[in-house]
Amino acid sequence: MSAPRVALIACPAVVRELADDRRAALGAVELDVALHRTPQRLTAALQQAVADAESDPAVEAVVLGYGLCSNAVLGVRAGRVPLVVPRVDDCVALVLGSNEAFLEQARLAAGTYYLSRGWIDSQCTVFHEHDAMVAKYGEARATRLTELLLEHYTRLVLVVTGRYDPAPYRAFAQARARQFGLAYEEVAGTTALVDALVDGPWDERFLVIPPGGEIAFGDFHPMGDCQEDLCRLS
Amino acid sequence: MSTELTDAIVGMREDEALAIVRRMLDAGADPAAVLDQAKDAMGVLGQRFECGDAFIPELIMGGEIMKDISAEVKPRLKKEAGAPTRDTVVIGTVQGDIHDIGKDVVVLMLDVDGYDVHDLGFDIAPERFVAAIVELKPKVVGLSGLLTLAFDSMKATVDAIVAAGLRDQVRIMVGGAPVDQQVQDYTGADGWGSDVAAALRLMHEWTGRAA
Repeated sequence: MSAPRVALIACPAVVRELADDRRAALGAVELDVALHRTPQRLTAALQQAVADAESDPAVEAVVLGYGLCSNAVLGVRAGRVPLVVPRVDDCVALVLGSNEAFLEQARLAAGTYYLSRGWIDSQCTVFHEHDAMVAKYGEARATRLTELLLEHYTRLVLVVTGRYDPAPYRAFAQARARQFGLAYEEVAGTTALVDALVDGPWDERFLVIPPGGEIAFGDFHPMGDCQEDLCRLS
Repeated sequence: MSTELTDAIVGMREDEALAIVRRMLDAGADPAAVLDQAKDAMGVLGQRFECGDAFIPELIMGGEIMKDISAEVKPRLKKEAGAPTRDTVVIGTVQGDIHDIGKDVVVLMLDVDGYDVHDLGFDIAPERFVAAIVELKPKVVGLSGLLTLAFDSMKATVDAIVAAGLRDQVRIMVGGAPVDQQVQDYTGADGWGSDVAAALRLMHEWTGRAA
């Protein structure tokens, strides 16, 4: 049986972790990266995009390149075809491979700012915002503002999936770590989840919502099933 | 009322904002109204953030300016006649999460409201909440978090309070932007809030104060 024909709706920060040719072949619908600031608007945009994607009769499943993302995916409904979403809390966990991998990093240093190719390319980082604030307030005030945000952060981690040349991303991340006094580290990430999202298999790492169903909180955090390793951060 | 104060706060000019507040207070302005105006400026910043015209650091800075302004205003606020005894609250951002902007604003507002607030800080392990309950005997415990992964940490903290035999002694609220009724149910808390107003409402309700 051939893999179902999927329509991919994704955050720009996530879709860039796919192989370039695969991304081009899929013709992913990328929603505005800024929507992650306003989860309720993101929910509405996702629902609209799902409806649009399903209107193509050739589409056999809609897949979302998102995690729980501040609960933004909750309430999004599958219409005619199944809806698939990785069972992770956000895009950091997505590129690290799992919530557990994210928690492992949180154990090492809770105050970690993460960068990946996706976030840097889509200019969705605190450092890009810093540059925008420099234009608005000047260097000194903008630096003070960004330092306020990064006050509890000690570490800057570049997540390297191995799919692309990390050199330009490393240069960006190292320069910003120096600028704001953060310890720089590289952590191996993985494209396994984004790859499986578009090509399968949709195993226990994914939620597969049947037609007519709706993404619910319990799909991500099942009641009465607070996994030991998730509960124990230290 | 002065739009000057709003402009100074929204423009991130903290020294100017403080100077305006002092001038207003010296001229006999109602301290509560001054605080309200500063809060309105925070609302403007919030709207700009939603539209993409402002970034999180600007919200933090707004919070810092609010802190300075409330420190200036607080001594001049009239004490409520017959105010109840100061109820104790223990609050903190749960383990694994370092986000404390919203929590800090809640701490500030509860303090202004006359509560005895003990802020444990951020990345706080369940056993530290338990120790604080034993030591301070609070009426309310606030568990804050921004990451959805913090939900598990909130649940672990509530579980630790239960295991310590202290659950009956405190009301627990969970709070943070992504927190809702489902998170309350999941964590076993008694109430939830996703903004400062909700936290205050809940506190007033639990401590028998009028809103």
